[in-house]
Amino acid sequence: MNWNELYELLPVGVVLGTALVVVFLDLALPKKERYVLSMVAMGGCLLALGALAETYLSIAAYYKSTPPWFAAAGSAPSGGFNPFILGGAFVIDGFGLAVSVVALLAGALSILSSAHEDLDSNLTSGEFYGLILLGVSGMMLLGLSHEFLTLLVSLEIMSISTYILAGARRDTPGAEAALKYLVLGAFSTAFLMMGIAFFYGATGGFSLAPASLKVLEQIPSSGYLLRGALGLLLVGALFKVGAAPFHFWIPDVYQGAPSGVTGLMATGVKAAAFAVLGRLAFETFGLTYSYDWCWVFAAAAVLTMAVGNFLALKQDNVKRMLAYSGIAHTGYLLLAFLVSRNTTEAEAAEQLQNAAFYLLAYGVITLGAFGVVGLVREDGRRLETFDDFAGLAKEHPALALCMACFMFSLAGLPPFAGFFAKFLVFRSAIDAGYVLPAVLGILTSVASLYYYLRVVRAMYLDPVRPAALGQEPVPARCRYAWTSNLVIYGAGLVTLVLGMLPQWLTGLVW
Amino acid sequence: MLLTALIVLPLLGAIPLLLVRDGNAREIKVWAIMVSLVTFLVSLPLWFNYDPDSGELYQFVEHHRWIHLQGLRANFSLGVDGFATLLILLTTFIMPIALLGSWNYIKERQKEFYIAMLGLEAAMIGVFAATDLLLFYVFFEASLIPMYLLIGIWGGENRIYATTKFVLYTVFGSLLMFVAILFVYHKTGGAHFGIAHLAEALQRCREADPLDPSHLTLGQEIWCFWAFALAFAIKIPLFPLHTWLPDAHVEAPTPGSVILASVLLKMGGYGFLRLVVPFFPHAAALYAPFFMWLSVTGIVYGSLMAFAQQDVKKLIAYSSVAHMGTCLLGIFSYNAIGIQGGAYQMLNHGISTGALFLLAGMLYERTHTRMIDYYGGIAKVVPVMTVCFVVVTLSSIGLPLTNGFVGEFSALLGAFLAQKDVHSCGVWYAALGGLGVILGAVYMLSLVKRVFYGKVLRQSNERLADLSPRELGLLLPLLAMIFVMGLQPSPFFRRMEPAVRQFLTYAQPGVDFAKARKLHAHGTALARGSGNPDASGTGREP
Repeated sequence: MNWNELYELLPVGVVLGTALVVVFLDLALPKKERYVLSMVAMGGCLLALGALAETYLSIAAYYKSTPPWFAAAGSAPSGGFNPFILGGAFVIDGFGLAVSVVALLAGALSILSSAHEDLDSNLTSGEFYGLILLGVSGMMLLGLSHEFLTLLVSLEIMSISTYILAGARRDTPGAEAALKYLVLGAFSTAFLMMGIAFFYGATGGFSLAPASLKVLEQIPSSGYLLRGALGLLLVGALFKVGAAPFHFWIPDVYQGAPSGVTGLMATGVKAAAFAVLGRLAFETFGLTYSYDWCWVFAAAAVLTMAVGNFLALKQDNVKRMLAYSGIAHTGYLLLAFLVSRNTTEAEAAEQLQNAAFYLLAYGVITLGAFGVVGLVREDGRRLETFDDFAGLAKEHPALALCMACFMFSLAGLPPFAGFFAKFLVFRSAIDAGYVLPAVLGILTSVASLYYYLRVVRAMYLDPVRPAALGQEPVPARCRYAWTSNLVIYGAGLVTLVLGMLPQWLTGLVW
Repeated sequence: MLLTALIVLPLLGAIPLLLVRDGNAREIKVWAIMVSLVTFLVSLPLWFNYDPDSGELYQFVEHHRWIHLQGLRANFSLGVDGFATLLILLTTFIMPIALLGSWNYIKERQKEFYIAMLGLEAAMIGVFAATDLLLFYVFFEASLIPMYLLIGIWGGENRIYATTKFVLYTVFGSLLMFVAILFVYHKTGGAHFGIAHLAEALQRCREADPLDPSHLTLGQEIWCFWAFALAFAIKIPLFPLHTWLPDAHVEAPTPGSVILASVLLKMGGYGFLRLVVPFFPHAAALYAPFFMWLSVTGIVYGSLMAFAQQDVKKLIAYSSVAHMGTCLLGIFSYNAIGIQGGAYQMLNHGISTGALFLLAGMLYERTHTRMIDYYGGIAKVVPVMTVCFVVVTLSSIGLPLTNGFVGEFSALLGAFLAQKDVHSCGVWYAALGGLGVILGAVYMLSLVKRVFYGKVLRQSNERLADLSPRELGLLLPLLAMIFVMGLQPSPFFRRMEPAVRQFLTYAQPGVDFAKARKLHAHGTALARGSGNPDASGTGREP
């Protein structure tokens, strides 16, 4: 083992270290001073972001231009640098680092938007922040894994943390969410493990990109095993990203979990799960694998978009609506993973960049939206139905404006970030020759406009109705929390800037 | 920089409004009107400095880098030809009038109202000024958001239904266009999104060898054509897709109706002129008779429906359907006079229907009803208003000396002349369009008669106030334009000429219907042949 190699994993180390610090600090602090915990956790995330930038710059020095998206496919680095560290268990490449950035941002923002919770609730305890950070470290490792064993372990670190987080509120919906998430998550991991076993049987190793795959595919015995592995791994991965027909757990889990955690699940966990899908689609069974299985993705994408968009139409709960909308967005994202057999490496990298842009834009928007949902409340009672948003524009014009931006953006209307994200993934699909899935997908997204506009309608258009007969109508009120407001305004600004000048972000990264 | 300034000015003007308190109603109104007036003044060089004889079709051209990713080049490119110049001028001209018209009408949330209006103005100017397809699409879609809020917040009883219907209809069309834009970009090799570049690149794709992967088959062209045409046919709106319009118009607040009728509908016609026909001339030629029939159906149907309405605004809304049918009739007649007539009719409709909606709004402010039967005989009570209404009515029905005559006559003449080489049924289109003009006179004059003439039906109507100086002041520019454009159309026509020539060079190759049908048959035969490599091989070397 080489200490220099471990140094490349420093950002993960920082996150893990902060998690431990936060948990132990909680024991030492009196309850009144618990707010320090969220600051420490935030500080850890920022530190890790800095470490990540350091890692990026240090490995960029070994390449002529920017580091490749996939180390295995890109140009060889100079100066004896090996992107495959710890004997090939992890890889340091553009894709993994991008997933790490999304995971860290998601973690930081969900910590910020949970910081306003009551000091004696579970949502401000050290273990809560510790679990978020632990989950984030799992997500980062998942993006960097290059062996099935490390992949599985990272996945479990992430999943187990989020199972607990889903039930952090310790009320009935929270318990239901946690249990459902645990059972179905374990179920999907079983598929993944069986797929890994098949894969091991065929290739005799755990590497995500074995060089011998092309040869082994031609041999009947291992060829069939590989097909089996492909099928099982895909089922497992589609389960994790929440694509139809494996989407049933999402609405209940999203609804039952605290809003901050839901934001984390909708962005960080989803990005990490897509990282697995990306590695499988582009590296393991990518351009060198001759069987064109992308129709599975195309079919799953169309089905997911249709299920997400049409089921969201009949929701009354905003969080549940956002959960179904998340399913629909998983469908849009799958479009970016459609690789045809005559796709070149450069085009594949471009598709992944499109997917990364989508994940980032969607993540920011979703975290902002869940931030608003987490704030809307009255007398401690959480209000989450559409009607409860009535009058928000009058009481809190700035928050309502941000929420409207998020909704228009999720619906894919310009000039918001969601439009360009959608533009890029649909372009991927059309360039890869999948016109029909794109057309079907876009038709389902007409429906999506209706339910996103319901939120805008409630905030701006609808009159305020009294909650019960004989009562005064009460417009929606938000709890004041500057941390959450910071997240929401920041996300609103990013949504607008990314929509008008997407180059600003993309120019930074590639 | 002029065009950028025109887009940015209203947006910059909206920023101070975000910061002030809602209480300062008067200051907010004055400021918003000043901003729109300044925008109008800044736009005047478009009229004076646009030189149709310079040989340059696009003038005031600007290019800025916008999005440059791997394989994705979209620029912030602006430029105007004759059509765009006039439509931008129409926008900046109508905007202060519409804002002044909302002086007393909008009483709630004025701040948000003026922000939405100014944002809408920026988006509309952007649509007409963009010479980059992606930029065009961004503005085209972005204009939906303020309009959604305008109808939804300040609209009438049924506003939420109307605004949701409006948005869903429009988005349905434009999202299909979104996929078609991506397909076109992919097919043309993805150099950049310049509209002129794409039109020429598509021409090359059509002419490419049928076995070449970049060849655009007629089938693909037809699909893309429908995706584009649907978006703009909904916007314009063409006959069977018009059902959102009466709802939106009736529910929208007066200034919203004015902008909707005057400018937003024009985006549809502009889309046909700028994108649909130049991009897909063969498919457009193939379906031109279909669009002609739909247009004349819309003219006759819209007129009959207008005649049957009890609601002033609904009547005007249906008359819009008829008038916009005339525009499309002119555009699809494929000759210079028809196209100029169609485009001129878009301007006319902007001015006369805008004025009609303003007048309807003034009536509504006085009586709080739009029902025609409520009025009657008020000519004696409000003589100035009556004069204005009658003048606008005469323009709307196309009486000589008014602008409506020039536009309708040219468009119908174009349709008639088209029978020589383009449409064998040209006479019928012209005849049915002419019937629409007659019906237009019927419903508009009967509206005037029922509202203004005869005996005063209600006592309360005897005390109606005549036009205030503000109301008269905002109507006068419109009345002046009606006569200016009616008596002196040549400066307008001259500005459109280079753009029309350009349109015809794009559109002409497929104008021969027999040829287009033959091409279609040929295309399907090729498509069938290419499924089988042997067959296509023998097809090339018989």
